[in-house]
Amino acid sequence: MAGKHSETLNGAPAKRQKTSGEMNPQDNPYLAHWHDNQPNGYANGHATPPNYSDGPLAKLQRHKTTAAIAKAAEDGKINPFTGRPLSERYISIMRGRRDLPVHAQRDEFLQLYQKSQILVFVGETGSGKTTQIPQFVLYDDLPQQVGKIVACTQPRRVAAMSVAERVAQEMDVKLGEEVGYSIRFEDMTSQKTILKYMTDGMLLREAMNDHELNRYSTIILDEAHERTLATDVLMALLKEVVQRRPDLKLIIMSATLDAQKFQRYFNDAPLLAVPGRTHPVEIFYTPEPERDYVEAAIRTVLQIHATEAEGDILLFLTGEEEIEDACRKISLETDEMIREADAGPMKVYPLYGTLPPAQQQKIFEPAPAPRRPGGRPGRKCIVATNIAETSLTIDGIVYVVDPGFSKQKVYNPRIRVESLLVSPISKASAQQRAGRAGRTRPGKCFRLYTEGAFKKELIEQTYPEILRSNLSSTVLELKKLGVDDLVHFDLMDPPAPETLMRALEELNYLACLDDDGNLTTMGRMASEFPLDPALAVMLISSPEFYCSNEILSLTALLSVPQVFVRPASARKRADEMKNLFAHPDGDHLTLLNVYHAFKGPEAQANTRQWCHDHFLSLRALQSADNVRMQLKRIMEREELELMSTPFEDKKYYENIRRALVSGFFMQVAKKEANGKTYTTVKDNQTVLLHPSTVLGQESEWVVYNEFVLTSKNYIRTVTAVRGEWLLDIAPGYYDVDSFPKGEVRTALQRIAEKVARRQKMKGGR
Amino acid sequence: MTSKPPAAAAADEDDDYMNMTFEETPASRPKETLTQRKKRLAREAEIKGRPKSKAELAEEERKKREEALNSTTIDTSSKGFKMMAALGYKPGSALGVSRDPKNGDDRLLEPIGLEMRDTRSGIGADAEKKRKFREEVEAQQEVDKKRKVDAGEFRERQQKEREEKRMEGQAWGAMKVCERLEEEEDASGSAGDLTDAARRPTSRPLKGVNVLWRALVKQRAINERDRRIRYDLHQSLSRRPDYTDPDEEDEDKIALGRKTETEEVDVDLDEEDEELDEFEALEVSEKLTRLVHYLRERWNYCFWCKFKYPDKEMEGCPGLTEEDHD
Repeated sequence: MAGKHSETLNGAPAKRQKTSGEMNPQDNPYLAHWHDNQPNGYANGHATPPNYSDGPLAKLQRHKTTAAIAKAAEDGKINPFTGRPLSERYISIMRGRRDLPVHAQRDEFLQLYQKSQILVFVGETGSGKTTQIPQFVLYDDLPQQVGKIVACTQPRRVAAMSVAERVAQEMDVKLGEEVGYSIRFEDMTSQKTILKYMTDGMLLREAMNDHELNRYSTIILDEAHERTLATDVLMALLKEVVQRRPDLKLIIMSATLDAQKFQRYFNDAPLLAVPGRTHPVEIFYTPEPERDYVEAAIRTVLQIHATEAEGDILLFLTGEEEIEDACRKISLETDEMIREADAGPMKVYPLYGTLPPAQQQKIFEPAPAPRRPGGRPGRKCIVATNIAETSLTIDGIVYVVDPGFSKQKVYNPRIRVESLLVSPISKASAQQRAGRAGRTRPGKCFRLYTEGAFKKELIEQTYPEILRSNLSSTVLELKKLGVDDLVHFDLMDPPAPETLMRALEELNYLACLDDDGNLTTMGRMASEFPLDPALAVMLISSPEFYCSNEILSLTALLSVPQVFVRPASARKRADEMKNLFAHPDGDHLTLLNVYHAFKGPEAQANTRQWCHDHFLSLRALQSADNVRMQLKRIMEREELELMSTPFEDKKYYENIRRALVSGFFMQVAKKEANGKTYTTVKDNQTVLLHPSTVLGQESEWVVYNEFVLTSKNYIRTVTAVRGEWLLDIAPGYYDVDSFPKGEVRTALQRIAEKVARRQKMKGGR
Repeated sequence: MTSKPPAAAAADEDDDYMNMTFEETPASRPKETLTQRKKRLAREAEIKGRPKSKAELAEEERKKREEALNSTTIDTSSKGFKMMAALGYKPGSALGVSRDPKNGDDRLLEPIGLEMRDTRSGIGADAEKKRKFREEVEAQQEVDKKRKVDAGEFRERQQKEREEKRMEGQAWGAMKVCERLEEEEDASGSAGDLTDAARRPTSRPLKGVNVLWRALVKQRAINERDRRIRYDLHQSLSRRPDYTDPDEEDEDKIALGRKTETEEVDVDLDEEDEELDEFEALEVSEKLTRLVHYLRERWNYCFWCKFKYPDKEMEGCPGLTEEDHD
């Protein structure tokens, strides 16, 4: 195998040579606008500038619009952007739009927008900024006249989709035409698009191929206060781009306080603040710290239901399991209250990111009616993660219960662990949560901690994501973005030096950066994939192991939410079903078995039923299917060959496992002598196999997909590999001399000797 | 397959092999016999083979994690660091563009720490627990301190008592010296007066003795009386010593060893002696000082040198106090 392998290794660069040079820009979807209708300069594909000589927009001049002029254009008979007559619905929606707080300050906004290249806009949730400001901009920026687009970024995919849909309705256009959205693995835009909602990550990917972001006339970074990794990088990039492109306008929109920080960062850009429509919220603290915050939260909800006036309840908890558990308990207790104390009815809804959209929509259902006329009023109780903190607006909430925790991503370069960890929220978050109680009328917020703890224990602002993330993916993107001086890159909150050092080191081991920090062919190719570098490298290397089809499926499966469903009520049954797919060598192969079964005729006959029967998430599998298709396209573009080892070949699974090592050789653990625990190589952390694994304890070496921190250190999604493969596939990382003395080093040494002996024997013959 | 030539690998193996055996070589345990060694190895193997408890494992895991989290990984030999250094990064500085100091520089120098929670305790509950624990510890410390103070006092008192006892002894010694010196003086002063010289000091009325060492004389007299009474008791068997049989003959009395003298001394001893009481009431150190002074004044005798100097200057004596003579 070894000989065969090195052959392919030698062969590979030659094959890649074809794609290593500049790719033909014509083939790059991100650059499509460069080539469409280039002669007339209308990059977004309009053959002629639409309607502006005779339509309602005829009187409008770029950057000269006032609220009155815009209003006139909006109130005409004809849709100014499509030329079609306006519908009834448009007119009724318009009435509501005019009531939104931002509308009152349209003139003020337009003046500042026209005057300044960069504008910081602060509008509390519910002010209407996400839907209205981009439309205000459209009527003034008139991007169609110059063949450009207005972009509005959102931190979350769901938000980008739902807001785009809403705005398409408001503008009386078909979603995907004038108004569209673009998220990872899904592009809902066309050549007509003039307003594009997109995830911040998507805009960043576009910038990788178009450093000046030439297709945009205005870029709106919405929800900037959330400080996602992509938003932070975009801000730093755009800070430079606006200097090179005086015609580009930039609006930073934030829902919270810390707006001065944005102003300062953008060289004292003007600020416009629109107050939200809020009512006072009374805040209550507990006299003593709580021993169990979940139990305290449930108690508080029940108490509110028993004693407080009509109004819905919003409870913040940290994760799916905790939320489902709390929902069940609250429902049970409420039933008892109804039976025994004639309490009003209460509907309890969970809300978290991985919940299917249909179920997410349920939270908007009205509260139940009293059980009999004149009886005690019903209410609803929403138990949510911090999604409900800023991005989702639920009317009718009067009571907020805030235990003070959320699940936050953490990364520490010292043990190279990126994981979700339940952590105390910040003061800013706590204020935001309290604010949710005052949307419709004066409300109450019950904080399940003392006032002293609020002041002393909570940090002021949540740490931006960039300080809590592994940056190898970002560094690769920045390199592709043409940012070479990563040390002095002007980020609003630069990460710790060790984090950057780790990222550079990892990319170097993955052969994406050479020793001087330059992007390699591998690096350039890996950056084409919207994946973590390790996954991208695994995918790119997979043809060398004759299993690119399988690795492609696996990569897709690792990029979507959990495939296995394990409801609390049927754990045993779910585990039995999972065991049907189990592969003794590990979870990656088990996932692959699931996917193959899912694609089989039996499952495809009725996917819904099949998934339900086998305790699998149809949504996750469909999503994996979609991701696979997208990735396949990129592979084809990059001329990466798609192939499989014949299933009958005894190397079928071995090849897949070897390919795994090619990307995940830095996520390897070795079994400790005592049997139960594993040690991560190099970082030397003691870990346990996650209880969900199908792998027995007998494997000496495992690769893992994820290091999970809870109260224990777990590695999740693990597959057994052989020690020789590590030395063979990643000799740079497994340079025995670079390991500290210990079990791992000794074991590697022994393997190296064995391999050497074997080679010597072969050589001697 | 591996880049390493077999020879190098073999050399490595040798190296390591040597290293490993060196650590276990009997040279480091020279006195171990074969059976001892066998036993030790068995014991060690047992310890090693014993499955660790969950708590131990958790503790081990936590320790390793904390250790790694608390040590910087900035390594100037790493390729990542070299890339950064090439861009002008200096260890100890932050990334990004330097800040206007008046707005505060909040750029990170170290990664954000990880705080693991393993319970559902609410915000502040841990702090509360820690506070309570701290208070308990502080209270305990207070008690300990008090106990320590008490112990200190006790030690001090003991030391003082010991010191007083020692000084008491020294005072007695000084008194004896005084008595002796006076006797010598008397003897040399009235060398010719034999009757005087032959006179026992006890024959002198107690109040005639210098108050400084009167206690000595008195004590000796008391001891003497007691001894005699005991003796008399032994001799007279059932008879009380103070019992005077009116029928007894004087000769008998003398024969039985009862002298009239005794009676006199007894009277003397039981007499009130304000001067002596006053002196006895003084602190023992004061008594000693007075005695030492007296010795110097009168006989040019230094109690500490244990030497009688020939003249008032007392040349060669380091000083008045005991410490001077250390």
